[in-house]
Amino acid sequence: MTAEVLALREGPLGTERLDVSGPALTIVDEPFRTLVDVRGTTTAPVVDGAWTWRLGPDWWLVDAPASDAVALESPVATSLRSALPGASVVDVSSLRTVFVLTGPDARAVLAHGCSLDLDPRVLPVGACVQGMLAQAQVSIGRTDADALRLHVRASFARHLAAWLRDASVEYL
Amino acid sequence: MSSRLPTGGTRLDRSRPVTISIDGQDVPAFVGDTLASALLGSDVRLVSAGIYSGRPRGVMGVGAEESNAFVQVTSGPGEPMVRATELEVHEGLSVERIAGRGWLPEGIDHTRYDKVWAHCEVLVVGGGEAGVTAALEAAARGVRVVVCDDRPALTDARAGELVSHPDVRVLTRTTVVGAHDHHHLVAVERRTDHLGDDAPPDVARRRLWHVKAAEVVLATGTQERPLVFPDNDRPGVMLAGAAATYVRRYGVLPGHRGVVWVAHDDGLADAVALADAGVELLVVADVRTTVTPALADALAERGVPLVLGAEVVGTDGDDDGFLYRVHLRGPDGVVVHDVDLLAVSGGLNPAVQLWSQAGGKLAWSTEAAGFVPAAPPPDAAYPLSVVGSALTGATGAVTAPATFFCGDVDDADAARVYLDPQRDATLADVRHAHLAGLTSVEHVKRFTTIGTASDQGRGFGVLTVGVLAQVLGRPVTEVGTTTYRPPYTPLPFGLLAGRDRGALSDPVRVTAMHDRHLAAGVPLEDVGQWKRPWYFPQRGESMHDAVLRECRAVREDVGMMDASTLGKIVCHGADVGEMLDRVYTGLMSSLKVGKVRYGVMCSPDGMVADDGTVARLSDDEWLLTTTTGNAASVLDTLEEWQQTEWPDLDARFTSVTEQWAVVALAGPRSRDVLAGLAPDLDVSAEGFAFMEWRDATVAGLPVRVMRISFSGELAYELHVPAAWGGALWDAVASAGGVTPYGTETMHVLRAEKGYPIVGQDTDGTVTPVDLGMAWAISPKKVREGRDFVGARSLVRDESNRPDRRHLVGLVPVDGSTAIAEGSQLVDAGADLAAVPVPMHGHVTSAYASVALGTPFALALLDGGRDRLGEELDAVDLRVPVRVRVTEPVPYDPEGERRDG
Repeated sequence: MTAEVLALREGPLGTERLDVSGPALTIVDEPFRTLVDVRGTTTAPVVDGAWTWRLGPDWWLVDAPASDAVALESPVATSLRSALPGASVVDVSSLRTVFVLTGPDARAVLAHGCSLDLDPRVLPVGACVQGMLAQAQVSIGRTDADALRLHVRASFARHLAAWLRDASVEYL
Repeated sequence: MSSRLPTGGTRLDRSRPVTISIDGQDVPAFVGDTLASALLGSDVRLVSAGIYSGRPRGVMGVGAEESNAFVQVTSGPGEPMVRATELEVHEGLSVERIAGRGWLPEGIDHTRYDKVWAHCEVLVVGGGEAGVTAALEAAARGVRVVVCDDRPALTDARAGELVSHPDVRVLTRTTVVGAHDHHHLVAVERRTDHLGDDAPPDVARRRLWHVKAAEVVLATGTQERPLVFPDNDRPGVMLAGAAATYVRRYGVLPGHRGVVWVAHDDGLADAVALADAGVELLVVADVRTTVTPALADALAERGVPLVLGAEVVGTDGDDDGFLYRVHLRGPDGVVVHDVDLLAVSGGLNPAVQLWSQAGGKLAWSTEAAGFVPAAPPPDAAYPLSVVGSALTGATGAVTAPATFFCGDVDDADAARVYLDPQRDATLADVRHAHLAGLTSVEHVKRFTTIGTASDQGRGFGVLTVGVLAQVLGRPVTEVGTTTYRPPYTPLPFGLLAGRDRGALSDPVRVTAMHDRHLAAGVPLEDVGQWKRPWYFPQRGESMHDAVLRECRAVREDVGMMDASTLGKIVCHGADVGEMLDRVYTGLMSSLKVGKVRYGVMCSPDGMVADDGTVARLSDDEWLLTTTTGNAASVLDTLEEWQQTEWPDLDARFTSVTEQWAVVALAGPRSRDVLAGLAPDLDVSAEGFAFMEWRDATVAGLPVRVMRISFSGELAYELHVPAAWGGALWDAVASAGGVTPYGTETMHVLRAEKGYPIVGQDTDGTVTPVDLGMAWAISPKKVREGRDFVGARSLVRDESNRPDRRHLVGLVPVDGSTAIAEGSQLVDAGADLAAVPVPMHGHVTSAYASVALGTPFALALLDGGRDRLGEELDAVDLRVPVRVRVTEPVPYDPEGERRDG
């Protein structure tokens, strides 16, 4: 039963996938990641196998592997809730979705629509910035010298995917 | 006849001949030519005409200072008002001559435009010697450098070193057009214009660069300034430096027999270069009485006579108006020379436009005979420096340049001394401005229009300042210059749009059920950036019929809608109750876990700002819903009040709008449908009361069910993590006999109950009391004197005047005529020809109602609550409909249908 219900999930792009590939660029979507918004603690929440992005002085976004629970709230959120008493812990797995950009051209593609400085000297591995990309609110975190994770609100995901495909044409 | 030299031309690729055309006439050219050099190379002298005078005009300059030679490009996507001096040729380039104004090409420009944001520690504008030096020095410090140059390539010997540096980005064919606040500079890169049909379709034709630079170095060089005299606008009159540049860059002789008239050493050097290239120079004249001996000797060696203290006093034209004779007045009187070229140069203006844009001041320098950078921008944090000739004007001059602009011209000739050929504005206009009492250069600019054309005074602006100083009898230093503003050169709208056009012009937001709506082929309504199902027509059904059917289904059976766009905010913290008491008019802190309450928010002026529901999820966690359109502004309001006014309150806010997909289930049979989908949930009226929420398993999915109604019927909202939004929609749709409905039906159903929509029935001037919702203001809070946003405004006398506009209902007196939204309410039988027609209010919502059996409307009416039963005319497009004022809750005013 659980597996059947899990199979009913749909990402914000529906049946389409984001799959851009060039000599020095790939862009893919990673739907169903477990995303948890944590506020009200200056200590970075730690979750096994997850990226923890610092969105503000006491504001974090946990970006963990997909959950296989059928529940109103992901188990990661539930356990963070008890681990961080007093903090605000909100499951946002469906609120946002994740696009992953890799390759030397990844930063160049984003520079077509984002005024933020994404140079690794400014945004080192593990760091994250929030801002606008192509008229959509995003957070952008670096996981490697050539790899960026982009979190976008689900309702904007199709717009941003279309924009990324268009902005990538000169890099294919 | 050709003026193309057999060899030479640093920019030419003579192995690649191309053919271009002007007004259908083929012109041979080489790759590397500009339109101007190609035309001069084929002795095509006529390029444009005066906008008012119709006088023939030719090429005068060689770059951005060109004030004459603008054409309409008709090949490719086409473009109006393109400078011939910067238009690179390609096979198939086709242009038309224009007289001062072009036209927007018809059809859609399908070429791509692009934008890029770049960040650097040092931006160098200008890739000449000084710019390359500055860039290499910066690069050696290990910082990021961007170099912009408007030419096709850097010619400095060190360019290769610069281009190969990993932290240096060299942008050629790139013009920096704006120096804005906060070190933000904007540049235009022309990427494929010069390739014509060979341009790869996927490569953006032009790119707009937004450069954020910690430090800006201007190495912009100089722009040549003309000298003026009667009939100075004829084809054949050119800038001396430009004439020499055509020889050097393009292997083109700008004329065959010429006179040169200058006021500075560089102009004399240009004369030497022209003589060397083979132009027969009849005489070189200098306004100065002393010149650098080496230059005088160089001319003498070439057999070119030099006349000092001389000035051109006029020209004659041939039958076509082209330059034919020059009248030169020297110490021995006026001599007339037969020529086809008159090369003039009044000085070299430092290119200080960006300095001025950034807020830097300019001052006249006698040494440079030009305006040079003076006081830096007032923002001390704007690290802007100027290097090279942009700072000093001419370089290498031995004898000082003359501060000279125009000789003595009598009034009869002044109307033929052109100070802005693009505007056909003359010395006579400046004199007229002076006679009208204008003395400020800014006023004279606007009075005469000099410097307002697309060259923005780059050609003649400083010269006009000098001429004005002569007219006023004051030194140039006192007259000063006008302020330069962006853009330096014009940029097309396509570039401003970039890729934000068509489907990408504005984000389209969609819900988790969107693919279902598309598959069902339903018409979509724009609600802010969202696309929402408007109505769900059956085959061949009109919108009117579909909405009536959907309304009937909800009133009599059961319907479902996608309510996912509702704004949703999780509030967490020990003080959320207190916080919500301060931002809603009602009392929220007393809400029990498991319960939901309706709330109205006011802005500080007491006017309704939003409404929605508040659910208490636990002791310290709450879920707010907002109207679709106000989700972001409500979150901002909460953050602002908490962060700026009440930082002591323990409360944090997280938007969860897209986390939850929402299916609204409404109608008397909704309880049965829900019971079937959620067998474990007690859906009885006692077990699950109105304004309560429950977590439940619905169709096997984890769902938070809220018993909320926006239709007055028994209704539920099913909130599911959005990944299952589609699955929940499918499950409810296949539960049997559930009618999907859209936003239009939702509007009708809520209006029948008199539920206002904030932003439709309100407009920022409406209080809760005006809406008849005094009950939404907590009497307990008022009694205890507890403050909330808008509280003080609500007790002002003005907020309680009896003649304020109140929300009322309207029905047509004849029971059948539809009332139009936006209708004005006037006295019954009012004379609509009167000016003005006394107006009492307006219709905010209007629908046909199957439940009422009559059209109806909601309206804001002066003192409306005291006018129930009164008849008025609702006027739309001058057509009145007689209406009767009713209570604003036309349907089920006792709320008996809420429990099914």
